[in-house]
Amino acid sequence: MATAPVEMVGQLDQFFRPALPLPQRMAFGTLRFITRKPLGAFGALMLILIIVIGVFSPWIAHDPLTAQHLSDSVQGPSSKYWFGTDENGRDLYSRMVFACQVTALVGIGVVIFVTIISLVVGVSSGYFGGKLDFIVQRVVDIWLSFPAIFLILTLLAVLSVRPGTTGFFGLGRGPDWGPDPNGGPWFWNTFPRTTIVIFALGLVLAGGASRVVRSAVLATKANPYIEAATVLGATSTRIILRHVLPNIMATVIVLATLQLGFAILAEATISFLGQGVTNFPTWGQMLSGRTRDLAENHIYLALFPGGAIFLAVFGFNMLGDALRDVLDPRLRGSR
Amino acid sequence: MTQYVIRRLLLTIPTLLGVSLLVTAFMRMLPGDAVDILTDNNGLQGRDEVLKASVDAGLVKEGKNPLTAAFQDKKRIEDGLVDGQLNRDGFDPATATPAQRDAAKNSFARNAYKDEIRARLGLDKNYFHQWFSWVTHAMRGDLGVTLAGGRPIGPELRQRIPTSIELGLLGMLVSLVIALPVGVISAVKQDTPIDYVARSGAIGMLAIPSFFLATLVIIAASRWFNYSFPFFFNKLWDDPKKNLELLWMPSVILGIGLSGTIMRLTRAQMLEVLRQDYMRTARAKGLASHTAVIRHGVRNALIPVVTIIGLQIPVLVGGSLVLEQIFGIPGVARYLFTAINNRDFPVIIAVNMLFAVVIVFSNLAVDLTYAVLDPRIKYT
Repeated sequence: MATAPVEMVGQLDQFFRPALPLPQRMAFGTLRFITRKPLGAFGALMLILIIVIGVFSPWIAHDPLTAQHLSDSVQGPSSKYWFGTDENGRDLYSRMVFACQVTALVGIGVVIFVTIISLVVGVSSGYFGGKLDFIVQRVVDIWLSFPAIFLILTLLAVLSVRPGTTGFFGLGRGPDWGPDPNGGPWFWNTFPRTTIVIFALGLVLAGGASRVVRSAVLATKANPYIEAATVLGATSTRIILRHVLPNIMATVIVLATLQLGFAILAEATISFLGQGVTNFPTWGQMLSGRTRDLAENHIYLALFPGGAIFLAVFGFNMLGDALRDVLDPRLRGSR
Repeated sequence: MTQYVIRRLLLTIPTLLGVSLLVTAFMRMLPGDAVDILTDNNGLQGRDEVLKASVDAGLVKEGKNPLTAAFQDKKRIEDGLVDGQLNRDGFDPATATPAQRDAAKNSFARNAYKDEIRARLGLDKNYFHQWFSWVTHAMRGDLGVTLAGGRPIGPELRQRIPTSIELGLLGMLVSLVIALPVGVISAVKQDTPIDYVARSGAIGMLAIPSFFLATLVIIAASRWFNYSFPFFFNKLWDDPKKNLELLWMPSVILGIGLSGTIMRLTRAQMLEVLRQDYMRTARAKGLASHTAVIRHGVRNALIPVVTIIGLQIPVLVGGSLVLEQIFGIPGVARYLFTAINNRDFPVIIAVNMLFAVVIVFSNLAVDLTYAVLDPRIKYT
């Protein structure tokens, strides 16, 4: 093949269409994804929507964060209050718009955190193997021996602080450090709580994720090209960065998308239980407390936040499935 | 095989010890201990009686009369220790005003009181001492007493465990009843509308938060069926009818949450099995389609499903917390939730260890069942 006659190479050109420029290729790729995997595209749309609404929430919401219309409490959906008002006369639509910040920030934060931890743990354990693998896997055993929700609740309790204390490693120092907790319609004003929730959820979800990464690394490591690279004298760092990581990327991306759904569901659950982010509206929180008693006669109070959680998690799971089919054919049909 | 079982059993020991170490470590990191929560004004309210009961219980255990002991404490404090507190607060004991003396007395009494309780509850010991004493006691079957109220934990758990097991088993049953048939049908009818509906439904079941579903169910029951779930819990053996009247709905909701994962796995395994040679052979020798699917297909497809059932147990435990909370079922999960909020260390450690034991041994059981069901798997 190395010595193909020049005239043949010229003839070959008619079989290959010249590659389109990158923007067009990306546009066609996106279009194909939308037509082939409409539900996956719906999930992607949900993700973009939540991020955009979260970022622009002070302008999208009708009311400021703390506004109350006490004379209009527990009103049904109307043209003035799109999703109705709650028992404190707060506009449910505005609160749900603000809550998008929590969903987006916690979801993305947890996914980044989980990906980093699970990559470090999974790759080192899977690639180096031997004694290190054995010890790390026993630690992961311990990690996975806790029911997730309790590890989250215990970590939340460990990490949270009360006034006058510095908390775990000084993670939440309260009002004297970071943004003013009572200021402005932005979620990061609740800074210590945000970090704590992301940290707790991330630590818990990373245990299972590291197992998946490890098995992907083991599968990649069995390939001849890894052996070839080793024989050529490549260092471990080089093999991991140039050969292992690119090959497990598909698994990692799919895993991250599925973790997004888990993270949002878990965040909603702990909010519902009255833990987690307590000083900013969240979807889970809107379903807890008095809402459940009131919702008997005012069903919209439960329907809108609950439906939002459901649609978001449903969309992200669909997106994860669709991405798996597209990116990682080996995993198709598994799970 | 025997060797493998022994090795796995031995491996559970460090895992469980690790879990207990970690839980104890968490407890040490918790900001503010039970004593702070019980005594501080900004802690939980209305706990004075509980606190008094626990202190009294400790004193009685030591053979002291609570009344005289409290009096002696007071006397000792007034006998000059106030001076030390004044010094600590930055005042000169000799020139302190009566108001400063009173404040110092209160402040000292408060701290001394707290330290006294800490010493009595063993909270002043170091981390390893606490951990070691917990492990040695737990091995003898003594799980200790709650910090608030001094009630023994073992009997309390024995009351709650059957309820949690009942809820978990019913939930698992519901999820299998939903997931297995739907998963098999979805695989047999691959890429038909039935398949699409079933797959989307499975993801929907994964995505719907159990607290939302429970809320909707309660609303629907009271609105359209004029039915409300019982407020009071009856034990299964006291009154099975009333017990199930409360538990059936949480079980169904728990089962729905679990069935998504199980259904997806059943479908995937079934698809794998349907492509195997022995399935073609079965069809070729003239077996009816459904006989082949059920007799040769399902039995082989279910082996990995057993695994996922075992791995669902932590999810089961977590899911039952929300439902126990909403429906007012006195299960183990709720006990732990209350304990975490009250910083009741002995309860948190005991229940977390209980869960860890259940999870570790169910994982072991899954692996062993796997080996029994699938003779191709060899363990060394």
